[in-house]
Amino acid sequence: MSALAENEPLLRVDQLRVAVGGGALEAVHGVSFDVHKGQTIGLVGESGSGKTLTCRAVLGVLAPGCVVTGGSIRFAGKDLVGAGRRELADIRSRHIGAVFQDPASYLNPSLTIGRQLSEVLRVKGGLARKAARIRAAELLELVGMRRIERVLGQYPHQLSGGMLQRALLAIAVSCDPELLIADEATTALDVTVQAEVIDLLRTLRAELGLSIVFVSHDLAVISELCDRIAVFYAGQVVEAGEAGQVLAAPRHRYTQALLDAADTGTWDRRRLTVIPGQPPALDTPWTGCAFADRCASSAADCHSDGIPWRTAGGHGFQCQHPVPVREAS
Amino acid sequence: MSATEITRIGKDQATSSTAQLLRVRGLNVSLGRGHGVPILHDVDLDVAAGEIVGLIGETGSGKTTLARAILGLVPVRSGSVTLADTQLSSLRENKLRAFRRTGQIQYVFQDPLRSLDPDLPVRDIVGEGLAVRGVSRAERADAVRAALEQVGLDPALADRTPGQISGGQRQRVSIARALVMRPRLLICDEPVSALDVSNRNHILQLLADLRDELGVGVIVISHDLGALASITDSIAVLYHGRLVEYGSTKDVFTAPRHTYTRLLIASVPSINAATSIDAERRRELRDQVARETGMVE
Repeated sequence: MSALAENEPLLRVDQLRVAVGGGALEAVHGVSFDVHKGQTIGLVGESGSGKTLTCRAVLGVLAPGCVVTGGSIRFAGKDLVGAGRRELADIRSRHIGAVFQDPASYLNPSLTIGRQLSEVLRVKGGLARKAARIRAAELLELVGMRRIERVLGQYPHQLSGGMLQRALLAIAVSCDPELLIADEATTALDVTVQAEVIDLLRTLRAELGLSIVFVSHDLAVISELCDRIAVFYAGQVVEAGEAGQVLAAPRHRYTQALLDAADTGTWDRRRLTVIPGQPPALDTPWTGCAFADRCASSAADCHSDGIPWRTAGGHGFQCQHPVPVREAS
Repeated sequence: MSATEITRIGKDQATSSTAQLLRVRGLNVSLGRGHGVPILHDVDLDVAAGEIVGLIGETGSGKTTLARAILGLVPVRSGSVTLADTQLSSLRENKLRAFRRTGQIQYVFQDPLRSLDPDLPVRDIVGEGLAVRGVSRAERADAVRAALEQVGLDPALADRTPGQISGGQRQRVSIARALVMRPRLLICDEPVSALDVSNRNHILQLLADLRDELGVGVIVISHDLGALASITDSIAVLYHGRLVEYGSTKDVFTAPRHTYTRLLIASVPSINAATSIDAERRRELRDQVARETGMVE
């Protein structure tokens, strides 16, 4: 890939639109965000908010019936939306790695971990059989696997969930990608294994200089890993900015609602907060703010189109009646 | 300390008296052929009516096996499971089946898409247990409507199939299906691990409300320690099939006594930078757990 110009993001998603149902229903409505080299961005939001569709569009692996209908995805200066299949496959295999929820379903149950890792290294990396085996062992060491020779000879069903996610991460970083997309990669793991995967992603970022797009519905996990956050709601980014700032002083009412529902970390007994209602269905058009019907602070003007995207110091949001700025204590 | 000498930190039993519902004593379970592989070792657990017990521990620690053993779905090698006055672990197959039909213990699974019949409308799914019991169609309809309202679902959803409703709604259907049987004990095996935070809170708060309003005893298996702290009365920690800590929720989370419990707590992600995951501390605790228990990962 060509070298990046100064200040040019590694990945720029600009006004991305994705439709499902054979292109009939738009599910991602003009999503934009940048990822710079070495940066980790967290995409957070409820199920169905468009996080996974956006990631799949970046990877070029949208499910049948899903199509990009507008906008651009520029990776290292190259537009991926207009790229040919072969070119896209090349970029995906050499420059972008990916891990998903449920690692077991992404590995072949009938091949050993060593065989699967070596295969990737031979096909994508062009290594000879012996060199691939050596590199496979190095990669398993990189992802913190113990008893590596044994793991190389084991089948996916013989490994625990945490080990499988490590193996998948080893495959994802096997060809030295610049960007890693981790879609709910820690969801449904044990709390101890989740912490190990978070540690591992921090290590890989430091050692390999990886940029990471990290998708989760858990703000706490996002907070542990990410420099920046983009909050997704109903297929739009409704707030984005530096992670500490967005979490400490959210402006969009939806981000505040997510924070209210998140754990406090105090171990106190309390009534758990629920965001009432459901996001609008794909076939239900809305005007103005998609969150307005669920928002306790909404007013008549929230239902009018043209709510501006406001920014201050790299922190942007689109809310007509935002959370007031807190005075610094 | 060897593997067999793991410290068990007991729960103060003074509070659980007349309302005692479930009593598990010295439970040993082995799975597999022959003598099998030991899964649970000498586990004690109590659930009172109107109490929520959170069951935590890593994958493979025996949480689901314990839940299934309570239901009589896996053979018990030794020990006893008693619900109110009925010793379930000594019932023969026929009597156990008859007991199950009473619906006193109900189970809510992790993935409602797999546990609900995809071809049946919600009405039939929720009412099926009553149909098996021979309840009339009209009475069933009333009970289904009441159960759906109790879990906060619009009874108009009764005509839809599981694929036509959201994940959070599906899990509420699972709970409605359990409630319609008027259970005394509800066992929920990771009911929220596939849900986002708002839906997670909705389901867990629903369980807390059912405890308070109906006096149901509840066992919840979850990895979500922060949310469990909000709704549970007691926490039981399983590690390699052994109960290593058991006590009131506040005590276990704010003053954990077993190193493994401390490791679990140190692994919880946090929005607050001051309490975020410290890799070094976690490594120390993991090594300490290995030394104390003789269990090496």
